[in-house]
Amino acid sequence: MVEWTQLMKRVVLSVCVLIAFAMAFSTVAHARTYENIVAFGDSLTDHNGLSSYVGVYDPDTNPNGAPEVWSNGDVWVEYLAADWGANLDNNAIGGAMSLGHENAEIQALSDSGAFPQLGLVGQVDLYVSTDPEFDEEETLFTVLIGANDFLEFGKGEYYTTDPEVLIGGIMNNISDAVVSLYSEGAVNFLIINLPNIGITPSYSSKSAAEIAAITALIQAYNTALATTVESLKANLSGISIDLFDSFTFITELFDTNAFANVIGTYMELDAEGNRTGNVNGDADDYMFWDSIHPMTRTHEMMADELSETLYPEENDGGSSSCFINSVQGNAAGSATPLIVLVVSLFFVAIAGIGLKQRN
Amino acid sequence: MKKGLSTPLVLLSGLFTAQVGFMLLVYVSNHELLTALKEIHGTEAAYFTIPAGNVVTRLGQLFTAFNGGLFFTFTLGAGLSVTAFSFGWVWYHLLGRNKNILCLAIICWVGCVAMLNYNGPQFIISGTFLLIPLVVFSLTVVPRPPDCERFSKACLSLHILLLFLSVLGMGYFGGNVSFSNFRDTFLLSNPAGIMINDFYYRYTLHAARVFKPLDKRTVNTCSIDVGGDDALGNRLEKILVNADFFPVTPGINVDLIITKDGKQLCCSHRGKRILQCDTGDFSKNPSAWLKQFSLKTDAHFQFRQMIYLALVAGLPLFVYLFLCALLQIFLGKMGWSENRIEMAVPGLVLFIAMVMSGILSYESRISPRVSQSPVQYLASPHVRERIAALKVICRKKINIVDFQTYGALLESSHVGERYWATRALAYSRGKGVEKRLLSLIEDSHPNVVCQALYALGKRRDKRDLQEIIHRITTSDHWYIQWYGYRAVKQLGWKQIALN
Repeated sequence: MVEWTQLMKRVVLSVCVLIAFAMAFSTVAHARTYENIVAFGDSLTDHNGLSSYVGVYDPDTNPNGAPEVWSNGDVWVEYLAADWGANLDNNAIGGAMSLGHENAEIQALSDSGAFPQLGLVGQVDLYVSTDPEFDEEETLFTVLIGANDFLEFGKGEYYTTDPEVLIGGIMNNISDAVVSLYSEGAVNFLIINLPNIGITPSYSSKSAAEIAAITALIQAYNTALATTVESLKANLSGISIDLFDSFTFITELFDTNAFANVIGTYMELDAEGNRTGNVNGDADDYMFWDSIHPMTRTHEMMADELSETLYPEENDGGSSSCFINSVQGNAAGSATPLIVLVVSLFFVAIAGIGLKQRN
Repeated sequence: MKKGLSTPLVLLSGLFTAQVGFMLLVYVSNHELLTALKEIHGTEAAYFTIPAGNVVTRLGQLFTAFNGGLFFTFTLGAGLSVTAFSFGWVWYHLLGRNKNILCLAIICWVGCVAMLNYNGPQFIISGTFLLIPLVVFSLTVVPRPPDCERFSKACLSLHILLLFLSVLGMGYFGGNVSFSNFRDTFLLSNPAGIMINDFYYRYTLHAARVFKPLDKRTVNTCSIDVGGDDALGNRLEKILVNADFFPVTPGINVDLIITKDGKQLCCSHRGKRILQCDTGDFSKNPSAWLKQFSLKTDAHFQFRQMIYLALVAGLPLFVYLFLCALLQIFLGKMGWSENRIEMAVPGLVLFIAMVMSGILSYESRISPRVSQSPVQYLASPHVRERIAALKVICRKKINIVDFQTYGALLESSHVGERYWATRALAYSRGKGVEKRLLSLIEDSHPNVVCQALYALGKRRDKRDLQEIIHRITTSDHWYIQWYGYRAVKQLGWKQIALN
């Protein structure tokens, strides 16, 4: 017959050892996706954003309206959300700059209070003002902004003609937006740098020097963005920011002729670069929808690349299909069931011993 | 039973029981897939599905099911056996064979098995889960001769202490060790390892299909009944086919049944209504709805968790106990004294385990020098450094075509090197790359072929579609077909009805 105290000691020792094992085994890392995505940005991300303010464009009834989306289908963030099965809260607005809107009339409406401020900072302020509730661990905040700042700068309609001031200003606005969201509890961010505007059809008729200049400017912007991201990471504890290099990705698609036509536009454009409403050919052949915006297939490819590069399911080719990866993808990192089992057994043992003593 | 021999025999009895149960499980899963494929191909559309060709004919074979069952046997079977053995031993030697404890443990275990059935009955899994512990426990607590009942407390403490330290050590040092590192180091580097690796990849999808949720499978069945709204029906069929749900004749075993109820779509699974959504919402974001449907119909979540725990905890403990017992017999025959054996065996086994972990950790580590200038290390005389460099190149998407002798890497006799060199071509530019990759899809090793298909998918040159589809249809390897299927989808290929 084993004594009660000895038995207790043995049970407690066994349980401690098992729990220690369970905790030690629980250290395996796993790749992740998110349940929610909250997106901010411009027409590269917008779908039904600006049109919800100014109405859907119609040449007869609403010539001042905006397209529902600046592509022939969904945009990258929608493909990403679909890929993950995540809920998407898309706050992006076509024409948004990092601060304010590129369209003077719309900006005037914002300034008069008829519309909220629609630039990145305004989008974030509006979002924060609704006192949003979100699961911070399961929500990814995305930012893709800056292209309209450069286009306005290129047209000479920006508040500065100094590239350093331009880039510095955008960096400040992005930092403000991130800090504002962080103060609301956001900790997971995805920031996307700018693709090379120099390879878009809007620059196809420009001189080599002009193309080189804009390419260099975008590269300088992307370098500054990388520094800003590092600085935010260093200053905001617990924050996670992934920076996706869309510059390299889009340039690769262009260089490798991933589409039959990487120079022209799917939508027919008039001499001033406005869409006529007609199309130039088969949608599958084109990389660009209009002079600046990509086709939905390009968006899809970018989402695919982004998902595989930043949030890979595994490290041998994005395959979640084999036996071990199928198991890991669903259970990795969690020793909870084992701990529950062990603790249950512990109580079972205590109860059993108690019963035995009483008898 | 003789002392020493009993432990391996008891553990093997658990594995044997597991193999019978899990072989049956894989056989039923394969058979379900075969039936689904026949139904899909029996429809007018006869969509193109994976697996195809010779792989399909093997689905009905018992041999295939046996091999698929081994995956579960050496994970869950080992885990359950070692758990039942450990509990039996503790109950017998430490807990004074207390019947109340046993009763409550049985209730607990039955509760765990009931939990596995939470999202639908799992008869074969439940049966196997009940049978393995029963067999192992019964054999563990069989009364033995008095001299075999004795155990040394010092030896037991030593086992626990060493195991605990090794787990902590592996947790600390093994952070950078992954399945692919293990594969590159221990499997792809020698003929025996290559055989195990090939076996794994040939049968892995048979085993994995047993517990995959619907959105992770490449073949699901569906039926669409939208009450004569042909336009909606056609739109839904297109969406579902692109998501690998293929229409079949309506029946109780169909994975997804879509019906229309006013403006709402009702999604049912095997007779049970799972979710309802607006038609427009479904068309706008079908992936999200299908993912939700998949989550709600996933009956194997707990089962997968159990396998995972068995893989990381049960299997190592099983191997440890088994090796200890075998070593005990071996050293006994060598004339070692009993006391000496008891103290030496756990240390020896753990020493072997730690050496292997050390090698794995060392091989998995990529030195900062290689990280900084990977291209330079492609010319290293050491294959370990060349593979490390190729991994960095893949991660950083560096163009290796500029490296003069990259062709030699692709012809290396080391499968791991060929594997990573092929993968690196996904991000390389140059005239000969496409041609190289198309020749690599005929490589002798399936893993290299898969990486060539992966790279072709990434390169997004639609001109390769026909070659890849040809490779899929002529391959007798499901894993290659799966990679090929992924590649053609990345190239923008869409399903079309054949008839």
